[in-house]
Amino acid sequence: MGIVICDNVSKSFKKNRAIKNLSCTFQENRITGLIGRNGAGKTTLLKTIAGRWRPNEGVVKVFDEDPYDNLKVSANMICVNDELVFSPELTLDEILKSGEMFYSNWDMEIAEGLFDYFELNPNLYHDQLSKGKLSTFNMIVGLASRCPLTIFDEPTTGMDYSVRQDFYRALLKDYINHPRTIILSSHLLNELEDILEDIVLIDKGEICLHESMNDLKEYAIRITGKREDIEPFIVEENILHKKKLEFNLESLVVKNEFSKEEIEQMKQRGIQILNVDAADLSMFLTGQSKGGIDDVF
Amino acid sequence: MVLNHDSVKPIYVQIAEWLETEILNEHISPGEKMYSQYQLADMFNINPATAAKGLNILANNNILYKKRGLGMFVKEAAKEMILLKRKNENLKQMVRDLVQEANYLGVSNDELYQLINDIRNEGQGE
Amino acid sequence: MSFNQPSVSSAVKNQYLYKLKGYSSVFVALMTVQIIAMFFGVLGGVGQYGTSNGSMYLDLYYVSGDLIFAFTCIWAFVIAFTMDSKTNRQAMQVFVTNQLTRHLANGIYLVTLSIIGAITVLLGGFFIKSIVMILNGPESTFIFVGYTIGDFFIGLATTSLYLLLCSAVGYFAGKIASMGLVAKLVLIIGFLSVLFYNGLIERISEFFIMEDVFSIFILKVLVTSLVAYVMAIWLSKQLEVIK
Repeated sequence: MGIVICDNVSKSFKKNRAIKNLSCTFQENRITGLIGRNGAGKTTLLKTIAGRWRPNEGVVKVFDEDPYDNLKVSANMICVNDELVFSPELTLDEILKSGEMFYSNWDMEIAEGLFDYFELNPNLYHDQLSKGKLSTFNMIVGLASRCPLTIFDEPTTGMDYSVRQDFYRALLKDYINHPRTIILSSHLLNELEDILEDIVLIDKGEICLHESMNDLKEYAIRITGKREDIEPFIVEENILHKKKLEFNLESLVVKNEFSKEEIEQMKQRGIQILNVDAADLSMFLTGQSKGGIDDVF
Repeated sequence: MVLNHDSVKPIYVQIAEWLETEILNEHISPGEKMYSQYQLADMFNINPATAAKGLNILANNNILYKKRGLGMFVKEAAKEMILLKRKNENLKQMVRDLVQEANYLGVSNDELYQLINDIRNEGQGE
Repeated sequence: MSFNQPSVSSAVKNQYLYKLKGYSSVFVALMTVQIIAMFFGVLGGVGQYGTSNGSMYLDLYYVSGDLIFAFTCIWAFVIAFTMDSKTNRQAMQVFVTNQLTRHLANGIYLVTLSIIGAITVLLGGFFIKSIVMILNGPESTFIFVGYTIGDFFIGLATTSLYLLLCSAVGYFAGKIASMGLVAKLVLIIGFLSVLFYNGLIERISEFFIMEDVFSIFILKVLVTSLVAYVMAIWLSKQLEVIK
């Protein structure tokens, strides 16, 4: 069942179209990663889903309702980003208590457990936190609210590596215990790919790919060999990335539409076939061009 | 087991192989309940859907069977199935690679048999 | 996962409690404003009137809490002005809310502030009179203009209503202030010119202050506040759709 349905949604800011005719469906009780470069439209899409504004065109449905100015959606959804504003006069501890008052599923035990684990000082104020601690605190609010739709927009900003790992682990464990729909936006796919079920790739305000994570990993392969050996096997449109190496060698990333026989034939001709790492693949899929930075020089 | 993220093998295949090894090593006996997708997800820090995909491979190969509402259980003949499967698939593939290399090097069948015998004897001699 | 079906009343209640707890500095501001007013009140000798008649010298002080009241009105206006500012709105949006519940919670909160403000204005008035008595010592005579318990409550109600009026107008003004620059300027200039051209300011003051029938006064203030408030909500809706 689709918890979030976007149908042909566009949203622009002063002539700058942040998302364009975008359609996608986020399935219930899945962790979906929304992956794209900076400025790809991730935040605009997530805020549109969260009902912060109305799209200029198209329809957004959350729990089958228009999320804009919607109390039911607000009560069942939390959107955590680094712009969260809390009352400047509440300590972190008091903010958690407020969260408990507002959200009926609020899990104070998790909140306090994580609070202790990450060594946050409950008597501090929200604007006294460093960037990393701020993200950590916001993440705790997002997890503890246990909303049927939980959105994390770049939740790991400023967190160091070990905190990020802990966060992914905490998210997964809490999700296992209380399955819910989670949308996680990030530009760091390789760190979180294991905990994702689905992935949505977004680029220049458009969806380039919406797959299960396991399918994405088999979506493309890297073929390395002599150009004349490779050429007969390749369909030009399927090339996602091309890199020229020395000795007339080429390394191509292509959509994996090969039959078993073709793969065998290629191997026999000494063509090397490798998997493409999901993070690299998403980079190629959302890339500006088929070349690389090398082409500039 | 630690998952190998750089491996050519997808995570769910690695999960399936690990489960097979658990059965072969008799850590889980026939008739016993297999780990649930959520237990596996927790153990390996992966999405439960990926774990489920690994479990389904075993179910499709008749190594596990589903009991409604109870989860997956290990079949009586699981061990034999795994051995058979590994012989048919893994070993065959390895031999295929071996033969391919032998052809490439111009090694005759007799030479190849001899080589295999030698290596087997080496193992027994130790 | 089952969905939670929130009621408007519980959302308003939670937001109201959140406001009370999370914005307690408004009371610090109130106290500061009133202390300053008292300071001016005592030092400045409000309504001093001196006369001399040969053998007798009369120095008349008219002491009241008027200045405290005036300052508190400004306080109510300013607090209401910033109540639904962008930052405060975002702070509400983190938790369960929609526009209706947010404005209702703001409204109830402003009513609360008006009542608390009124109580402190009256107490401040007593306080300032006591101070003047102590400072001027035994050689002065004090004439108390009739003051009963009933008067106190009427005073409380009147003061609360005036503060409510100020806050409602402040709330509306705050919304105007968040409009685009052109719209804002047109509205403010238009408003000011109408106000001065027709001598409306006097008429408006008369409309409220000169009203002798208490029940009609209540009605006038409540209706005016409500109109300002509803206009603010309407304006807020328009503004948020544009964004």
